[in-house]
Amino acid sequence: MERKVVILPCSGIGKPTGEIGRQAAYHVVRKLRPEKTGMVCLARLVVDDPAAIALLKDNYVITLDGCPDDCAKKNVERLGKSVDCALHVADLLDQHPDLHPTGIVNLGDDGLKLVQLMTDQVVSQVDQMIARED
Amino acid sequence: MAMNINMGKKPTRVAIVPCNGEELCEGSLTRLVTRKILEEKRPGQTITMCMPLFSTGDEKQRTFTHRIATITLDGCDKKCCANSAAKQQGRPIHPFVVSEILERHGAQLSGDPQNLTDADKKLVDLLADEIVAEVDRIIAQSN
Repeated sequence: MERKVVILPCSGIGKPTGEIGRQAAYHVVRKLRPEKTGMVCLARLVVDDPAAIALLKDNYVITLDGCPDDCAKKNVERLGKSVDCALHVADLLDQHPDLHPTGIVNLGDDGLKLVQLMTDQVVSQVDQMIARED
Repeated sequence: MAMNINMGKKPTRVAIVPCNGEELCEGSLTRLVTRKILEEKRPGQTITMCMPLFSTGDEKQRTFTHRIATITLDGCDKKCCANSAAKQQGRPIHPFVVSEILERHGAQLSGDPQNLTDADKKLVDLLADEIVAEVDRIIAQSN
């Protein structure tokens, strides 16, 4: 069976980086690569939901973490699964110091540009993983 | 001149921890409701923490509910956030579930977790007001 790519943002609520990762994940899963990707609530992994764990174990996983706590990556690894690609939204902000999100859930124009940049990175990784399956 | 030092107890703050569930519209609402309360309705009286830190955070984060009254805000009846918080065996959790509140009010969501409609966003205040009432009750009891 062809493997898909699970995109897992970090659920961060204290910084704009959490929302940037979340929105980028939605763009990829719902609009750009809906046939090849999927999402699961990170909270379900935190409580060891069997269906959520099975989804991870059978597919590629890309984590999008907003801060150095790496909640998404650590919660995958805690379950004995390696992450295929760990992306960090904070790195993106470091690379674009001219872009300043205006709020934590309302990102503003600069924040939406960062979402687009993050989305591009995720799509690139998804396409590389899917190419391995072909 | 002697300094006037306030020796009274620290003001009570209440934590609101949302599940942030990415799969459902209800999960997205938990984020908006939490930020609305923190930034507009009860700033200074409320704090939050990222829910996954209950399991992978440092010692302080993994014992968070031992030190602070915590309201969990889950999107659906899986109640991931409340269950995860309860595992800390700290203070009693104050659990809320978006789907249950909306059902009680006969309200329905669009179902799109990425692009909440104006109708979805109008429910943020309804939900926030229920949580704020609990925040106020917890603070009143502690004083």
